[in-house]
Amino acid sequence: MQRNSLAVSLLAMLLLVVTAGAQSQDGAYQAPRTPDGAPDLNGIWQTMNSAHWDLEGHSARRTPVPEYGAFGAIPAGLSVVESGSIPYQDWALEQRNANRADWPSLDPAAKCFIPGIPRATYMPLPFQIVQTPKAVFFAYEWGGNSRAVRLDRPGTRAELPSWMGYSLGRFEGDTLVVEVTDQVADTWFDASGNFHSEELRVVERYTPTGPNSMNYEATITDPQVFTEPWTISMPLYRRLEENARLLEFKCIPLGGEDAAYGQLRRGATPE
Amino acid sequence: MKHRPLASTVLCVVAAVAATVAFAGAAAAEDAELKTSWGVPDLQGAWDFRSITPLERPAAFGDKATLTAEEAAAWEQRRKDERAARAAQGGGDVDPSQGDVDVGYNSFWLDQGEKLSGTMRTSLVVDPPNGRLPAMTPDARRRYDERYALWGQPPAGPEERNTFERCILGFNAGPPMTPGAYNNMMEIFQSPGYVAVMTEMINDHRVIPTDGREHAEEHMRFWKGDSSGVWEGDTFVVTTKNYTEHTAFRGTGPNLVLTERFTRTGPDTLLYEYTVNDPESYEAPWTSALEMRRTDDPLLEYACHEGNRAMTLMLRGARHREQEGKAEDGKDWLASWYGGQNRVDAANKALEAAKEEAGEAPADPGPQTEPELEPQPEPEGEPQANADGDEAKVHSTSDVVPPRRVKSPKIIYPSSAQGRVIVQAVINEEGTVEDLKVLRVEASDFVDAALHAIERWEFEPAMLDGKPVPVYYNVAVNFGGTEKPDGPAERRRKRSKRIR
Repeated sequence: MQRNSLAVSLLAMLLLVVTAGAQSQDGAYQAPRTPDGAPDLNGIWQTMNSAHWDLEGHSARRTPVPEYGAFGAIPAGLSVVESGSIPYQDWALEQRNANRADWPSLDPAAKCFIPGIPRATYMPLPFQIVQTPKAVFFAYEWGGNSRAVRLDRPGTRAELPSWMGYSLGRFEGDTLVVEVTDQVADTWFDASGNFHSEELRVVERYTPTGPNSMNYEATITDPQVFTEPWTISMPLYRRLEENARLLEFKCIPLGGEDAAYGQLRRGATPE
Repeated sequence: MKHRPLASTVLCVVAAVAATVAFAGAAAAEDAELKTSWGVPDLQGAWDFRSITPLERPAAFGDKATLTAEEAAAWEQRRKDERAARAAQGGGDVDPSQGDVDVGYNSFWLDQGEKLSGTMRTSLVVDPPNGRLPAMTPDARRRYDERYALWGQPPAGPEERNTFERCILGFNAGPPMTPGAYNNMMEIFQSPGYVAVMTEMINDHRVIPTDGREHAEEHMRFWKGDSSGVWEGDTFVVTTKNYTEHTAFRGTGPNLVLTERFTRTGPDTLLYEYTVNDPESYEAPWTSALEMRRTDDPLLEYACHEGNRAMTLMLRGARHREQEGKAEDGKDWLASWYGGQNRVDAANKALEAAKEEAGEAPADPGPQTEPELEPQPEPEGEPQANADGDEAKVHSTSDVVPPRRVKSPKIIYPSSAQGRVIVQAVINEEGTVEDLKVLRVEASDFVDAALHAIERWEFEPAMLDGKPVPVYYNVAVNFGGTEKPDGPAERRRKRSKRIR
């Protein structure tokens, strides 16, 4: 019995290997398979854009930190929001603008707080996917953050809200679809004050587009803050260095504490 | 997560007996279901490493290394009874007399489990065979004591607190992982070429390559070290090195080479062994073995830094003291964790007296011992750059190229001298010693002798951006070589178990 099922799965694997990385009949790229037969998303991935500064289209601009010369500036970026701008309710747009006016001291990620989803995806550091039949583990270099997208627990709910939320995934064709719920309201989408409430729901889609690229899409729904759902989209690129690996970026001692506790240091001018 | 359902005592005993057999033979599971689809042992799942097995063998066990099932059950029952008695007394808090004010933990937090490790050992330490840690080197002890002295002070900033309070490392998350007060869970995920270890404690992870690749260059340092793994038979062997100078696992230093061994011994058991090899800190390598148990409980997100109210409150408290003009008064600073500072006050008085005398070395010079020293971040109560910037800022040694001692007259003291004095100096731009301050005195009458010598030391100054800068510099002077079993360091070691 066991031997038979092994033979079947070997045969299936062989077939999949033959078709690995090929084009399907409709011309779409078909991802290679894992040993368990799922579309293989394993690898170290990274975005190449300035969405972590501002999801919407933005010109290059100065930061309030002149100490680093030109390296302290924010690069320009085209909008990654499909509709161009984020469909805020009126009150929320005012809130966003107030956030933006004081972002260096208000942005939770500057304090090294967990960025949440989708922001963790496009922080300016790589992340690694460790894919198993039951879960897709996302290990982010930024802050040593991580989350497990569970494939084997459909219909379950989070026990508690959390900074990274609760991620349930499934494959639709070659696309990994992840529904993220139960995130706390404390995270932002970028360093420009774009925000949400605890009603945030995110549906992510990771679609292989070639051996070394995926498309990342996230649809954001939050009836407290936005007039309608909106979607961001951007490519993910595989890190191709032969020795590519996640390194350690413990952002707490790398400036996070300055942002979180700077006013409480000895000699600091109290707020 | 907390409050897991407990198996019945009967089941515990049965499981423990089965585990002993597995451990004795180190038999890796051969069940095909315990291999991944690409043929390596399957270590995946959530693992519970709570245990009441002590790290070191209690003296009462003498040479006894392993327990029978009856002995284990009796021990577990005794622990339960103790906890019940404490709960009846004062709600089960760490120390009922402390309430919940500066201890910080009460019974709600504590989740050490009720079971001994399935290894059925009398201690987690399996080597040396006596189940006891080898001696720490004087260097490591000095490092530890200096850190301890720093933590007993109201902090100038978060950098003066330990890595656990800062949420940079988890006190039981390692590497190596070791049973602690709570969050004793981890989960393993595997893909071809990688084993990811996710610890609930401080929500941290390692993605460990299985190709045995070279570690990062020697000068690249990591708070959690740099881990590289390889399969040896059915055991995943991980070597971790390149730790930072701030990373300390039970007194280890930056050159610790840690070896962890993960062996799936059954559907619900994972043998986890680690060996600490750090000649700079321990006089011999030592090895711990623990059996982790599979659990269906989910790991929860332990957002340590995001919820670190304790750091905010500590810093606010320290600033509040200063505003009230009590900056130097550390007597009651986290007293139940770090001890009072009365001795520091007494020592500083002695320092003033010594300055007035400006005098001779004590008579009756005994054997001369080289003092031990290590630069440390600036402790409490030191001058800062003023607003106009016309007083040079005194730096912490962590920010600069540290000063190097070039001339150090020996400290002269009687051979009968005992104890320890920790002194903070400012090394100025010329490399000479200024502003001596006694931070801590332990059972020693020879503060004056230490100060008299240290103020004559000469240094190559600390450098920042190619320029000499003043820097804080701590010196710990240990008098006498032997220590009584219940001497100050031993008491500190005991107390340290309560530092989170």
